[in-house]
Amino acid sequence: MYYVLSLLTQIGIYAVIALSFNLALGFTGIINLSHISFLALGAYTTAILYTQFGMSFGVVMVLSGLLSGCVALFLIYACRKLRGDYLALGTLSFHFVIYSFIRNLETITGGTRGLIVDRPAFINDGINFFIMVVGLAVVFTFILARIVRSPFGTLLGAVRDDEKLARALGKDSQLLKVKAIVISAFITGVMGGVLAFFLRYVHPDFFFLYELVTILTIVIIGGLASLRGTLIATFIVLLIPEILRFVALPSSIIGPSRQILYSIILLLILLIHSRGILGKVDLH
Amino acid sequence: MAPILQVAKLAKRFGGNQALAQVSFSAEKSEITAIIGPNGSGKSTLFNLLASTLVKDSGTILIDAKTVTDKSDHILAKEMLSRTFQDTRIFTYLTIRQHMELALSTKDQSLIKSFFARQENNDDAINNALNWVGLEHDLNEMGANLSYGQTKLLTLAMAIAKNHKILLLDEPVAGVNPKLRKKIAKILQKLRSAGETILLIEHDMDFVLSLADKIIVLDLGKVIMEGTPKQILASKNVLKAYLGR
Amino acid sequence: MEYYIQFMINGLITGSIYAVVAAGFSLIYNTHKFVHFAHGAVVMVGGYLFHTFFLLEWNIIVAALMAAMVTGGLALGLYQLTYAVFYKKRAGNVILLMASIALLLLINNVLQLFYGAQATVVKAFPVTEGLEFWGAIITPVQIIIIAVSLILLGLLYILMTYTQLGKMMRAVADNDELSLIIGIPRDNVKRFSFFIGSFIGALGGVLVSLQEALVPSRGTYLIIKGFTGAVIGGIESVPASIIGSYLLGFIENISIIYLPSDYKITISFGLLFLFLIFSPGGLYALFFKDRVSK
Ligand SMILES: Nc1ncnc2c1ncn2[C@@H]1O[C@H](COP(=O)(O)OP(=O)(O)O)[C@@H](O)[C@H]1O
Ligand SMILES: [Mg+2]
Repeated sequence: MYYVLSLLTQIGIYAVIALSFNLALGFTGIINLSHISFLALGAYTTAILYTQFGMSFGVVMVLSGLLSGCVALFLIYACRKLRGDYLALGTLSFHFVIYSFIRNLETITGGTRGLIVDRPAFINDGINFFIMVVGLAVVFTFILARIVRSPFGTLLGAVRDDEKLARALGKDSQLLKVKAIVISAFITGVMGGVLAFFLRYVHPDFFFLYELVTILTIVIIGGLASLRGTLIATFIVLLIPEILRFVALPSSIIGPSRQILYSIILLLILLIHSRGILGKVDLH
Repeated sequence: MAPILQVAKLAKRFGGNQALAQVSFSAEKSEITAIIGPNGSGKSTLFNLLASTLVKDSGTILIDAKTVTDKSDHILAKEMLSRTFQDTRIFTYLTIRQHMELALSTKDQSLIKSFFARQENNDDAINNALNWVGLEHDLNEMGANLSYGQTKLLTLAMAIAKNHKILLLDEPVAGVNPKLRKKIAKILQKLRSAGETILLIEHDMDFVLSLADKIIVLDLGKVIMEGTPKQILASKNVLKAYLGR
Repeated sequence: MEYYIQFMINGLITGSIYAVVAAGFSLIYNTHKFVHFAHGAVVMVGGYLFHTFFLLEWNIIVAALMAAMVTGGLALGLYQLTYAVFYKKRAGNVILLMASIALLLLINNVLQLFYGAQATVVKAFPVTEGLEFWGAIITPVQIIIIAVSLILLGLLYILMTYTQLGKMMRAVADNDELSLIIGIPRDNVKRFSFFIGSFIGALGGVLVSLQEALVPSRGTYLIIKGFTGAVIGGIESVPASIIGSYLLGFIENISIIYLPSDYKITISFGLLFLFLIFSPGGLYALFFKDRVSK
């Protein structure tokens, strides 16, 4: 029971992280390979402000989102001249920068020792925690769905499909990208806080490139620019490795097998150039 | 009345390649001003400078006697310029309706407003705009599924529907069949009688001679001649530049 | 003063390894025009295979060359299964980048299944006392690393400059389409360059194994370093990439004088980010701008 609940909670958290990644990648066409850094920033903000400074839960959540949002603002500004794979590489290298700072700023982040995170009493219980995650997932999914279906969502699609044409129609593509990535980073930052509470511990290696592959796999399997696809794919991708558990393999094999599975799935989907389950657009 | 567009000594260089050199000309309101010249003579570069998609090296551009070169491309587009591109551009994964909504709407940038706004039905305005170019198609069709001719018409419809003072059309009939070519020529005539100011790039002489009020001939980045179709036709100079290549 | 010489020597050692990693990577980049991130994992495959062959009590040079050959072959196999398919489908660079990250993860974890996540020590040379040069210490193994990498890069230079194959690779790097038109067997040249790049990378892995214990995930760091070196020097040119990598080695080691040693990675990641933003073509593009802009 505890196992199932914890798995469902994890699915809820990853779903929101993947949905907000899709807002940038699928709906706006921003190849942001530092998405995991926004998760890390939120998680560490929460770990530090809640556990060490004793700030209240709500304030900590909002600040986690805001910090991620602000850093995203900086990133998209810094990368404003980059397009295509160079944007991907720019954001990827930014991810490494954030990762190395988290590792090295030992006095603040605990470095490679990580940080213990206390849980607020009201979500100490697994069921309550799960209910909170479901609540957040519903709210964020609703907000994202509303955004992508509104005229604003059409603007994002225009920027994704042809930035030059969007500008020729008088649309400020740069501002639109800023808004999209800040929303994406804000939500991810909040979920980083939730993840920190969920794990009760944060470590730099939880937020490295490898985790990005999980999110990327979810979004590509679900399909770009489809929220429903991402939701379905989160279940599939997080449940598949659970099968390995039942084959009674030692954990030294389960860990790598899980990642091998993800990377093979991602490779296969890219290879057959499929749009995934419900994808609406192709990756270029 | 002063010309609506005045360009003086406009210059642009790409590395060692002087794409435009000291280009000066003007265009009158409610006229079709055609810009012709062989491939690579700098026509599209001129449009990119007018639209501020590229930054000029030197020179001035006045629209309605006001200098506009300090404005960024999207603001200029929003306030006064509509344009089409030589490499016909559309939004691959947006529907025709969404294309036209983007062209027609002016104040939809606000996330908050857009978040709480009700979906409006502006199909009438959209159909109206599409009627201008005679594009009859299911509004829910995606850009990716349109034929080349349809994309040409759609981009034209977007440019016309969008708020503007001047229309910049870069080779609107390049690569289209003779039937569609006639259709587009008619659209241009209709636009002209409706009082539109049009700058038209085209390298087919015959097409331009029948439509334009004024023709500007570019070669190797320089204006080598400027005049009415009749004057251009009379000039052996230009014809030689054309046929000699 | 001695202090500085020591850091310079350390920089030279680190730089040598980065340069070998970057040379293979940059060769592949230039003939293919995409970022092959999985190269880092290929480097580790070389190191681990060397370890295995060495345990079989093969001669050390034979073990190293065989490790490089087998790694090159395996890499070429993966190439055929993945990148070649993407090429046929004309997939964009973003897809290739994502695929290469997936491949990096895949190979990393396969290595982990075979060899475990813990450190694997290759005792190819007995631990000996360092020699002293002007007050700085350098061990014989480190001299070997520096020498081998210089020889390797020299051989690569000869291959690229004086052989028919090298000239063909340069032609493909210069202009993909044109090389086909003038009758170069482009696809085979690309395959060959991928093999050679991986071969060199694998020898980089061998060098790594001489100086430190192997861990599968080390490949990720190595490729980031190699990539950073290439970007600093200029990714469009193999020699520039190599010079950039030596530079990175020096910068990292000199930075330790002023910062805690953990900040080494922050420095190189930060440099990578700054270069990508301000001068994606690296120092090469900064100094030879006219040649780069079209
Ligand atoms: N963005 C650019 N970068 C470099 N050179 C350019 C660019 N755009 C145009 N050119 C060059 O400027 C010259 C004029 O091009 P263009 O304006 O497109 O000609 P046209 O539209 O008359 O065919 C050509 O030599 C072209 O190669
Ligand atoms: Mg042109």
